[in-house]
Amino acid sequence: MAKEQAAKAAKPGKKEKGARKGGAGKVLFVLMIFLVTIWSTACLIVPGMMPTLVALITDKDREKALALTVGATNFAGCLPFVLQLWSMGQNFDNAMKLMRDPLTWLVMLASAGVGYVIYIIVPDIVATFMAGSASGKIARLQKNLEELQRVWGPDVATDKQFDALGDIQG
Amino acid sequence: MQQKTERAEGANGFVPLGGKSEVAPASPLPTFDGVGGTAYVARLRGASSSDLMALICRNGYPPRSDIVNQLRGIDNPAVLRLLDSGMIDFPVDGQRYYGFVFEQPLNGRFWQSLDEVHAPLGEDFVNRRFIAPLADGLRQFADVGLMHGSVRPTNIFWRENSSGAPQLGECVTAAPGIGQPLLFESLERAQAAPHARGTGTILDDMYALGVTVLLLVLGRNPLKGIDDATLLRLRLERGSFATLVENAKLAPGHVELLRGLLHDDPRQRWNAYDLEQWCSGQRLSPKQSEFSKRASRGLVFCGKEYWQIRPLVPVLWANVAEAAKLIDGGELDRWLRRSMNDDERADRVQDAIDTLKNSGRTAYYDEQLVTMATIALDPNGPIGYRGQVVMPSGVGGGLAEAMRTGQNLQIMGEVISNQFVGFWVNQQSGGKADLVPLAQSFERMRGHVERANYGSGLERVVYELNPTLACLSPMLRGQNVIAAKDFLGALERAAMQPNRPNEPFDRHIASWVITKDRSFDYMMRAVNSSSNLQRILTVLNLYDEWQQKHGPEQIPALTGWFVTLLEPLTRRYFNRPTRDAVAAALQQAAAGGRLKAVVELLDNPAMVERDQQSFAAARQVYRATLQQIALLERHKKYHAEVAKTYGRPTATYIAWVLSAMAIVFTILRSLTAG
Repeated sequence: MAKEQAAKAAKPGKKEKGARKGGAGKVLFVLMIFLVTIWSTACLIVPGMMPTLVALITDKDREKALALTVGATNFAGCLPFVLQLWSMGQNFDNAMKLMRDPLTWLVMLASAGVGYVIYIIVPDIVATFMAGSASGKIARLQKNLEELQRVWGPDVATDKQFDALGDIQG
Repeated sequence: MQQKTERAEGANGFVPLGGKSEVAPASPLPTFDGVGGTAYVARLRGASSSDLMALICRNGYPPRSDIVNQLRGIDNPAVLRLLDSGMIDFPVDGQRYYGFVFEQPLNGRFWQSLDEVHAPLGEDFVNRRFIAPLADGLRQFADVGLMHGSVRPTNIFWRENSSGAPQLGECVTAAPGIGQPLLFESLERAQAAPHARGTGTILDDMYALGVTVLLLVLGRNPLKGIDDATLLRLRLERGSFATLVENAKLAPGHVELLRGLLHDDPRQRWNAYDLEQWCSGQRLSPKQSEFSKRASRGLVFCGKEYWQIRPLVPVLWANVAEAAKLIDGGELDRWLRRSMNDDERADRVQDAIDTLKNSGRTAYYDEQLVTMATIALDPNGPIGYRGQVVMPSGVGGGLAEAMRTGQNLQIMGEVISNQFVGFWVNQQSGGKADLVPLAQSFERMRGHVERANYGSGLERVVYELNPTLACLSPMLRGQNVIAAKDFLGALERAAMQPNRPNEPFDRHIASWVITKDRSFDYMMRAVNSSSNLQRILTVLNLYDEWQQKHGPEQIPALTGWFVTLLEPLTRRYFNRPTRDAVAAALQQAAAGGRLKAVVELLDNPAMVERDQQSFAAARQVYRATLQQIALLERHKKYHAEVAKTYGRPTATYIAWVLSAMAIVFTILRSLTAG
């Protein structure tokens, strides 16, 4: 397997892709080691963070704004049960005990839902607010332009060149 | 006009003239009228007696105001004493004229007309009482380098039974030659038109005195009834002395005197000092002139036979086509060499022909050929070209008269551009050095004629050659502007007229101004090389300097005229409040009558530069504002894009803040619970 991966990585044109895959593999490997180490916590957090994983996969945005938004609230929703598990003692029975409680699922998934709601509502609010603000600014700037024309005449808006006597050149 | 007349005329009926005199326009003195002016009673300001006379130059001829200073230096009982001169606001017709104030003559005119018959006067009486005082008077003219130009019996104030000396009348109201009958002009000047006879010399006065003496001793005009053309022809053919004296019975002393004074060769003619010597008893004898030389064989031209050169010359001028054949065909050359035995003159004529041929055949070639050949034939004589006959020093006078009366100027222009005067000077055998300035002057005039811009052309030439000529600009008509100090005042009056022209400047004014003050030459270049507004602005600057140099202090009408013309120039200020302020200040400046104020408002480079810099900055601000507006409009127009660009990061930010708060709260609760 390692040989195959090494051979793929050595192929011309696929070097970068291979390096990326290799990096991700390392992260996945470390994560798996970590989850194995705290496998009872993982049994709780992996299913709880499933909406984030879905958002990560479905979000086509380059900045991954959806995943970041849902992930933040989703994690905040999972954290209380992780802490509860740790206080009860990290073992599979306790994890299952928490998993069998519907409230746990409700809180973890609802927190992800809050993230989705924020992601859906806030951009529209921001855009609407900015449009309203722009109208006010435009009105103010238009007044400035009118004042400039009043003081300097209509030619302030042109690129006409004038000679020393104020006649248009060319 | 009535009001003006009342203002100009004082309560006592006297009007100021010059610096110290005043004139009574209601009291004419027709007995003393001059050629170019009418006489009025005058007095010194404040004096009780009106024993002076003023000659007001109302006939349109240029007065000889340039000789005033020299004339005032002549203090001689035989010369009318000039006391004052200057401009006068003449109330009779509301115009301004130049005037001269003289002491009134002690007697009336000696002769009222040349056709009168008087009792002949005795030789000794004439010599002592008439010739001697006049010789002394004319000698003083010679001392100051002047020609009187109007010596004739009708311009002498005298009574033979009076104890006083005869007094020569005025000679200043018109150029020499104007008003002087042909009989009294020397042969060269007699051939030229009256206005084109030039300044002349004291020798021409000597000739006039000779004719005057002849009329006096004869008691009549021996050529009475003979027309000018016949008289001239007779003088050219027979010589002046022979024509005038002919069979008259004269005392031997007078014959000698008249031979000396009436000599047709100016170099042989007696001058004022010779005459004084004769008066003191010394006897002189004139030499035979080469002009009286006769050919051994006559030259047949246009059906007539000519034996001498001088009678031939006017006939050549009058018959150009035949004359050109005579000259070009070599017949004239053969006649000069074989019959006149005058190789030197023949060589001069041939040189003239060669010079003209070398310069290329142009329009009026035959006329030019005849002119140059006749100058070479008779170097003392005038210049004849295309029907005009002028003395070299009379070209200016001829041009001025043509301009004044609206005649064709082209011929005089060609006289100058063909350099006939320079050629004439080169043909002179003696005293050539004195004539070099004349040749140089006409070389400069040629340059002026060839340029057609403001301050050049024939207008420039006429003022250069006639320093006392009033500005002939149509807008100054009737104001006789001769002195620099009168110029802006006259323009002020023109500005008040309802039918004033488009602008207070024209070709005549440009030329007159530059002739009066050459320091404005650099401005004239600007006048010629710029737009209409720039030209008027330059003229404003010129008049502003003129006002500071020559006055008057206030010229509100002219200033207002400039303000009207230059009002569009306020647009050189882009800042509208500045523009409005300048426009308002211009109206105030117009009321103040000082051109400087207008110049400072409209031709202020520092102010204009500041305004232009501010305008450029305002343009930048305008452009930046437009860009801002475009950006904001884009925010309004593209909602989804704005939501994506700004809304999604905001949502993420909000989610992270809320989550962080929830995490902190959860951890704290866990810690406190534990």
